Amino acid sequence: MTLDVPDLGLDRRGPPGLSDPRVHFFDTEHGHHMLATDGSRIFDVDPGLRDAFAGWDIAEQGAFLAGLGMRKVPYIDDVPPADMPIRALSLAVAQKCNLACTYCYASGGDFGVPARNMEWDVAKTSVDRLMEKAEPGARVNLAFMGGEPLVNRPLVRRATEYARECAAAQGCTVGFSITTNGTLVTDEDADFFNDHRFAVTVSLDGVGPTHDRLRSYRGGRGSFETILKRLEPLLGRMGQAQVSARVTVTPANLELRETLDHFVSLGFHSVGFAPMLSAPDARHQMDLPHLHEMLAQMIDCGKACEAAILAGRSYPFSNMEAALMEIHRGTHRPYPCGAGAGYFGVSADGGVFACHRFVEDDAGAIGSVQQGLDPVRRDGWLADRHVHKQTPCQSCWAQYLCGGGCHHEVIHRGRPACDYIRGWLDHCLGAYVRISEARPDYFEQPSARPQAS
Amino acid sequence: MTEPYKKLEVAPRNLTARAAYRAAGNPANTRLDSGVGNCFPGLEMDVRDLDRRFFPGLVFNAVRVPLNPAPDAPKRTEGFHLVFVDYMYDPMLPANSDVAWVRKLLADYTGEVADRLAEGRWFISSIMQGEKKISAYKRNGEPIDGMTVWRFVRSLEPGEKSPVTIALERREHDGEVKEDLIYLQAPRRQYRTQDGVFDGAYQPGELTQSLCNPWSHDFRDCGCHYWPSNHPDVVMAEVDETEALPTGQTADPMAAETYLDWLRNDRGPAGDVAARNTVEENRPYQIDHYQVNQMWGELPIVVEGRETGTFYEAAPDQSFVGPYPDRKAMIDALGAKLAPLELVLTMQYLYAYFSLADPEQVDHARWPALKDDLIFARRAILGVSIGEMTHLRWANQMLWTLQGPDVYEPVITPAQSIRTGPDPSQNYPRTLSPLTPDTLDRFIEIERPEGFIDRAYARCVATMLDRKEYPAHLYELAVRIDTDGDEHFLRFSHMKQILSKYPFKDGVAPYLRPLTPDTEGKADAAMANFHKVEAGLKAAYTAEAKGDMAAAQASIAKVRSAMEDFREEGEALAAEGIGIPFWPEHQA
Repeated sequence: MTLDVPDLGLDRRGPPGLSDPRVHFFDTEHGHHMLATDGSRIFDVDPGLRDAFAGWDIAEQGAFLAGLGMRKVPYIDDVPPADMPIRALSLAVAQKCNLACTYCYASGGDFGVPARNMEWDVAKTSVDRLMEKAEPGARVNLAFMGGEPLVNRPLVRRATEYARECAAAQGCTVGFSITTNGTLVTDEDADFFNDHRFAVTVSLDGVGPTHDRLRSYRGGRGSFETILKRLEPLLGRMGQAQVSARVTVTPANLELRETLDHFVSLGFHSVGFAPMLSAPDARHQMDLPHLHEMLAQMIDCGKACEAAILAGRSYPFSNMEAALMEIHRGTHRPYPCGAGAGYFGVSADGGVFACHRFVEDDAGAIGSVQQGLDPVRRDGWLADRHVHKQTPCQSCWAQYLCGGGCHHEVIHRGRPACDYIRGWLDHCLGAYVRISEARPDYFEQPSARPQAS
Repeated sequence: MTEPYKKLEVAPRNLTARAAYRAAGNPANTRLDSGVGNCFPGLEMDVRDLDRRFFPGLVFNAVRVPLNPAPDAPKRTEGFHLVFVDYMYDPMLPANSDVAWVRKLLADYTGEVADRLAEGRWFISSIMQGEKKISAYKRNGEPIDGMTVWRFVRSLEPGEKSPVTIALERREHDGEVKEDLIYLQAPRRQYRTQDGVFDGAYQPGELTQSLCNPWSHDFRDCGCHYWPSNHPDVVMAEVDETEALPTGQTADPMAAETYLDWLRNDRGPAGDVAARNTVEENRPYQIDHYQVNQMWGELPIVVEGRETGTFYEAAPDQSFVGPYPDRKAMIDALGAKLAPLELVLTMQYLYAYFSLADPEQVDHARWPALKDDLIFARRAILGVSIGEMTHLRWANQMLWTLQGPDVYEPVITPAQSIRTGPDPSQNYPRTLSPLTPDTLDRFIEIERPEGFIDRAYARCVATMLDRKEYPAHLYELAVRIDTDGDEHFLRFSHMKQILSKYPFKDGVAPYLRPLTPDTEGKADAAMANFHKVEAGLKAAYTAEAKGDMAAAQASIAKVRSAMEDFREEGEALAAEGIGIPFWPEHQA
């Protein structure tokens, strides 16, 4: 299937709206609009503003932008957050995997070091760290990752129950999530996930053979059918557990719309896509032409989602839903995620890293659960990773919606996907205006909508 | 830059844009703290209402001197007036208390004292706490204004350890006190509890009852004068900067420096007549209630006391005034020129003050406004004179700080002559003269901005900008003297405008009384008091230079007492046409 790709200036640096880091102009059938980068504020503007703005000198442009709001200071300054409490930990409970996805950031599950399971004392210390500064009423999250976490099922259960006890004793709430390849999920697991309201993310990279080519067992056998069979109890029950499909997009599985429609029909609570930008094996990485094609596919999915929202139907395309909510709120972030701030990854032997992707990677090492966080490394990380320190983010209008891109991908690959991100956000900005005109109530709903991970 | 974007419409759409959007006009969702006058710190309550219940079981009102009392109205209504006795629900006076003072008070409030208080007008006669006693009467036997008594009450300490004794007096219709006083003793109320909550004696609404409803009518009618702090009542007119003289001074100084009523009805140039002295006098010329509803948005913005039109232009800088070459040069100027100048001006202004007629004695039938004009003029010149004495002190303070206590000698010697301009020929011998138009013109010249005194202090300011060399408070002192001069200039200019409507011929004017320096020893007592003032100041400054604040305060207290006497003697002498011969050249 071939899709029309809108001209978004992806191959050139020219139109003022795209090259000016302070503003981004976009149009819809409802008129002309402007995103003010500072504070991610969206305005409806006069038709003449775009040209007039381009004609003003920098002082006039500054005066115009300053006149839009009452704040005297920028929404985001250069100061990194300090002494944030830990709000989420991801435990690499099993640094081993029964699949052999060659693009895996964990290099087949072991992160490039001898495969091993996490011991109970490490998991317990991790939970203690997580609870250490959780005041009554606070909400913290414990995530289980790998490798394949269900390889070490007893530890997942024991840590979950221990965290529940600690939270009850402290009067705070703990949420659980697990990212699994789905091949080892049992009926008992489904009950357990439901009982503890797990957010279950299943890695599925396509439908049938497409998935099987990318995510095979170590012996080469496909895993798709097995996974669907294993997930039946979870999807069928639609209980307390939220089950999401996460699709890693590589050059070999670019049929996003078909994948999305199929997974929605299977009953997943949400379906999200992420391009593979940094793989240990470069053959599976997305390059510019692939990203161009992926953008067209994402926009196609976005249009389907928009139509469903306007019609009042459920169509859980998580990338779109999350983007709409963030645009509505005016989310402006100095970082792409909470890595190194409130969120950390813990390796099997207790090393603390900026996130689950940095496990066993010295670039993101921040301490250990036994010794605690190294304040120097943590502050250094937050100082270095601030979007104001990133190039070329400072010259980009999307800097506060994007936050600078996944640290792991940026550090290991750079920023090949900026045009893709801008193109996708430009589409979502237009969709936001259209939906807020036709269905303003959509944004009044509680923020219980699934968030992109 | 013109503002081209003002013509372009923008409307906020998402939440951050809407939350921070600066809305045009004043819609319902304007934030309180950004409103024109919707929110003003201090308007939450009126602190004066706390002190109405300073004494357990009693509620007072602070009553001011009536402006226009009816002839048959009760006399002496000013002071701290007892409104009613209210002990039933006072948390300080529980009925079952076994504390001695509580039992005594409750017995009084339910017994003979209550019966006496129920009849007639009762006022606080005096307040005692520890060794201190404050009388509610002035030296001349008249009651002190209620707002002043309120300030005394504010100075009382709370708590059981330092009980307050109040004496209550019943004033008859003629203001006389015939009955015995009632003495009551109790601790002053602790207005807030330990939890920071107001004492339970205060009823809902009581602490806000004297506040006004903050909206456009209050621009006009607010009686408690909260509003003038951000909505001034007197202002100066907008000046056309393009018509300024080459010196930077405005072409029409009188128009530029005349105080106008901000609420004046006639807003055209013809309406630019000076604001009158009291709110009541200005009322007929102000926009009325209906107009203020329509016009409040047209009331101009006031910047630095001046109405501004579309554009605000900062005042042009004074011509450059350089610093003194060094510390010694500044000390020499302060000691040899500036401090003596301040003292000589004080004395000249005082002499002129005594030459102004007694407002009560003038011909009201012929000059109906003269009484008010004289009250204004006398206050204004006395105010300037007091200002010059303050400057004398500050000049001395700069000297003792710069020289140190071992070198410093108080400068309490008046100058022989007065310089008014940069040209040495503008140097006049000191003189004691009544406040004739010529004298007033000379005073205006002396205080004129950019004149000799103004530039001399501007040089001190420029010198003390060097913060490594000079402490910050000295710089502040010099700045204050420097800016006070402008105020003196305006006061004299205003006085000239007010007095100019009265005829002056051969040294006689309705506002003057004849005054000649005494040569017959009749003013000896006054001069003796003046010398006491000089000696007292010398002792006080010497002590303060050495850091002995207790001794300095004791000397200053003596100076104050001597000055009170001096003023009374001066008034009495002036009533007989006798002026005080301050200097040898005037003495016999």
